[in-house]
Amino acid sequence: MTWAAVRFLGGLCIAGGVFFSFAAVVAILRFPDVYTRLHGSAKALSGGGILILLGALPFTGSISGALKLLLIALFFAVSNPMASHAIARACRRRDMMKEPRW
Amino acid sequence: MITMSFVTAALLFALGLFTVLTRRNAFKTVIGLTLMESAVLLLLISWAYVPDGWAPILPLKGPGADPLPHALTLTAIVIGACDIALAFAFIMKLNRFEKTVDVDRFRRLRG
Amino acid sequence: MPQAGHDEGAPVVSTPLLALLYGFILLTAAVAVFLEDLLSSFISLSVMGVLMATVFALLRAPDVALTQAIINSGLVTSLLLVAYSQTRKTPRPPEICAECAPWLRWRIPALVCGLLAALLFRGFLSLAAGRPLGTASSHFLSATLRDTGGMNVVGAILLDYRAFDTLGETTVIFAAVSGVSLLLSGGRQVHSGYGLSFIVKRGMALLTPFILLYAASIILLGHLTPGGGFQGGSVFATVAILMCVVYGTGFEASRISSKSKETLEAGGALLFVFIGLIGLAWGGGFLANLAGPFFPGTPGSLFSGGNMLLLNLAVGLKVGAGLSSIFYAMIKILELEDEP
Repeated sequence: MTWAAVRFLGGLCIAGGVFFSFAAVVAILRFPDVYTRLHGSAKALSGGGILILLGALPFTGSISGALKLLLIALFFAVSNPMASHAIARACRRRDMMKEPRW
Repeated sequence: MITMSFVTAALLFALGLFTVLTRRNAFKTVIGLTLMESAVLLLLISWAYVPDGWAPILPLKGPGADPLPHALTLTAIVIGACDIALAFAFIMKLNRFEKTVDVDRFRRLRG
Repeated sequence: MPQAGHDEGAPVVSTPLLALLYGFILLTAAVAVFLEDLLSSFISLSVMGVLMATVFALLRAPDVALTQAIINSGLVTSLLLVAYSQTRKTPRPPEICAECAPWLRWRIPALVCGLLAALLFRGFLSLAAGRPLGTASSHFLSATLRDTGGMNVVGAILLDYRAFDTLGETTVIFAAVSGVSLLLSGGRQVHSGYGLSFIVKRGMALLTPFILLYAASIILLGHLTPGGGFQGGSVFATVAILMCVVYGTGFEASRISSKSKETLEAGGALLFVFIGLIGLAWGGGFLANLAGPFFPGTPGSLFSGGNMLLLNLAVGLKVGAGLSSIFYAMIKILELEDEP
């Protein structure tokens, strides 16, 4: 597998990450309910962020840079579901389904 | 390109000043302060940019960007955060006294 | 993202990307100003901070980008949210002055601000951005390794060439912390034992050692890579804020009391001044680096740069303890002794 092919795959991953982020924005705007909107917005980091980071791996100049990107992707994978859970649980405790605006 | 940065910095500063002048909510005043500080930071960093330059970390591979405005901007960011924290303390204390965050109601020092 | 020293040729900043980022900066700033809902304008301000950090990184200023991202988007936003939550119960005022005449409400300020923007732009253009570097800057870029032993030019400027200004900056932080503590004193600290749910607590317990490691590496490697005492100290303060939110204030106060925070802050300032006095006693001048008893070491290793490592540590202690003290002063429930 040539280096150009790996870079092309990286570009594909970045494009996929952009699509996920765009889908998350559409979800926040169009979904009817606060829980479904949270479900969509969590994909911005868990899907989009991790894909963009993995796609940027062939473009770094060194192994240490690639390792740093992998660590950041791991951090996103651990912390983003935690944050979305905290927001959803706060919505549940305040019973956000009754409020029409959210 | 640097002309673009100057236009953005000038517009940001004017936007921040507009906020401080016309908005009644004290938090909006703080937001305007933040915008004015950000405009100054953008001006400093875009002025320090050398075309086709590298970041000022040794070893340099070519011409480096001007490091002196970078140090000035670092100081400006930290001091800006400190004065914004002090502004929040003022707003919270005034809120306890006046029971509002409306800047038009803070009239105790009027003669 | 091209890093200095790792690319084949000189990296070029693409103008359309910068134009897009500037457009979004102005858009988020306008949203933060003109939106009625305060929480949305706070989030928009935070997004603007992240966009500005990206612009700084593209304009070859990694130190400043790191500081902007951590302090302006992280710390200031959390202080903003705490201040907003403390004043939530009072009624929100209308956006603009309803008793004023319409020409005074926004037309005259808009005219004045537009005039100001045009004059500012005219003044900025005369700054001559295509000029060659000044003598001080070219000296800093060429002679830092020889004069200080460190590799981060901006860090060397802050801690060696202009270390006295950094002492003044820590004094400003001290003044802000004292002011906030004085203004918000007289309240009672309500310790809530609750935090967030079990999942978040266990997840935070997994992540906190790594965040602390990251903060320590920013501080200790500040003379080699972009970073330093201010950035690392802010990350420490962010960890304190996170622990307070996730585990409850009772847990946090039992781990690091306010007294120890004050001691750490004063200790950081005293360490800074002590290192300066060591240089003075050696005969090199206040805050002397290589003219004092500090050795430059091999370039690029951890123990290099003279006293820059110790000064970074002192500044990191000061900033971390100071900013978490500000946060703690803000989350108290205020009770006034003398109601008017």
